[in-house]
Amino acid sequence: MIKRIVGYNLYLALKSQLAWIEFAIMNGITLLTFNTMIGDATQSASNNGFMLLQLRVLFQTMGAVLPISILGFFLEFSLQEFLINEKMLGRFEFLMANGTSLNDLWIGTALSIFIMNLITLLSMYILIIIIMLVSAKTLPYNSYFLVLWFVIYPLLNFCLSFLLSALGFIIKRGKVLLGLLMAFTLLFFFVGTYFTRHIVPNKIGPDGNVISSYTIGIFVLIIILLTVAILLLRKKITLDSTTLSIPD
Amino acid sequence: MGSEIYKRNTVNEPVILVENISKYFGSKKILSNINFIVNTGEIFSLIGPNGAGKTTTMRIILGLLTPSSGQVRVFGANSSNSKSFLKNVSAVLEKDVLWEKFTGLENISIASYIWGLDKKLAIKTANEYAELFKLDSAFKYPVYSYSKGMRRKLSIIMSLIRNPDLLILDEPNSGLDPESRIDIRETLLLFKNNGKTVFVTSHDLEEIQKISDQIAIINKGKIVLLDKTQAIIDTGMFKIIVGIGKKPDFSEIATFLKENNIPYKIEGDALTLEVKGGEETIQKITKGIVEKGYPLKEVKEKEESLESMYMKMVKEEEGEQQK
Repeated sequence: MIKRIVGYNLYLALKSQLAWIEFAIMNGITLLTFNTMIGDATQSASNNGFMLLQLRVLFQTMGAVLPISILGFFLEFSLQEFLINEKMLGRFEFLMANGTSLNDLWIGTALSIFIMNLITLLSMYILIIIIMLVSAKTLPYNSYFLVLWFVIYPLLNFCLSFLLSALGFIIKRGKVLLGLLMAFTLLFFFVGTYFTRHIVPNKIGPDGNVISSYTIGIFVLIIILLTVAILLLRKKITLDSTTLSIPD
Repeated sequence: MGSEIYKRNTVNEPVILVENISKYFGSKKILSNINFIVNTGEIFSLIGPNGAGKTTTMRIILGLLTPSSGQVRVFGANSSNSKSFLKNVSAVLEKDVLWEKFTGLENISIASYIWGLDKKLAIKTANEYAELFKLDSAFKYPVYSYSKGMRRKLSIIMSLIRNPDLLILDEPNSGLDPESRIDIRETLLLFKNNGKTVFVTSHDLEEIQKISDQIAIINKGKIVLLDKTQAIIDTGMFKIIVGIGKKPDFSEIATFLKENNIPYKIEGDALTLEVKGGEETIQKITKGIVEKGYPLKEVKEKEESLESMYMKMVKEEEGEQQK
């Protein structure tokens, strides 16, 4: 049943114009940001060595901040499409009344959100790699950066998808959840950008690597905390809490 | 009255067994010791005013809410613990849950995919029901262009493609035109005639009276009346007006009425009597009158019996609570 719920959600997303527009906007922002960043770095650098150092710093900082911000925006969209709207329309109640178990519905919904975000995240990675290779002719990553992109962010996406889905199943006013998510995403985006422009450049070592074991450690801690929160919230997802939180 | 029925029907294996269920939302009592049984092949209707507890009862039966006390067994399974019974149950909720941008047929395909049904068979079944509902020509149009009645019909078709043994409907006639009501009535009766069971919650007393085998009236979380539909109808009041015809007076018929303890009133050349009873009783009386050579001028039910019984039960309950 979980597989069918995921399949159904992805089919609806595929048929949704809004999903395609959102997908295009997210990738458009990525394209614009990285193109501008590469242009600035190449113009302001006095020599090739400094330019490569600047590109490394900018690539690693923006490569860290942008995916997570875009993940936040896309989470907002997928949460609204797959959970809040479905719940408000009474589809959750309808599915549960016709044989879908609550657990399957929750896992299926969370997995749909996770997969949609993962697709966006991967498309963004591909786009960033292409821009870097075509415009800057370099891809200045380190091993920690690869761990961040391919292990930490998918895991973070997984945890956020399940945590926000759990919250969406329990609370009646789903729009509040979306509002909070938007606020956090914007906060992260602006703080991240400020951090990138004003703080990170002064703290970089001679190798220019921004992503270190320290960064990974912080994210691992966040993932552990999110996992604990999911396990605690899971107990609150009951038939009563889900059914009674469906808006009239 | 409820407990009598409850005891009376336990001989057969019930489809739904509701046993002493109560439900609290916080400290507020929503349902209080609800008992009833729905047997195979019958249409059971739960009626009551808004906020009486109909939907909560239905949700508990479907396992969407857990009762605070008591238990509900559907096809022998406890609806709070096991969801296995739901494979034999289809539910049509008050809100029509359809995919607006897709056509009627695509809606059937999506639903059959989610439920893991054979798509071809589901579409074939849906087409058969659509023909019955006169919805087949609309199947190729997107759902947003459907009227309320068409949406309702599509929701019912969608639930029937699962070929359930028990169909649960919440307010199936809400906001529908008479033609759609008739279509839904005929489909439910057809479903019942195939040995399947139907549980309906509704406000539409006229339709309920026409289709139900058993009716329960719920008010403020309590079952205030539970009986066979015929038994409820039999409590109806009929007004019979008899003409004098070629007879010199009403003496002959007056003796017959006195013998049967039926009060009457003579005004000019018309004799009026008001009788409480069902169709059988009324037929017996009118036959007696006609056999005596008096013409029947008018025989009519004074009030909608279910409606009057409903109003009486609901008001009585309110009166008792005020005391």
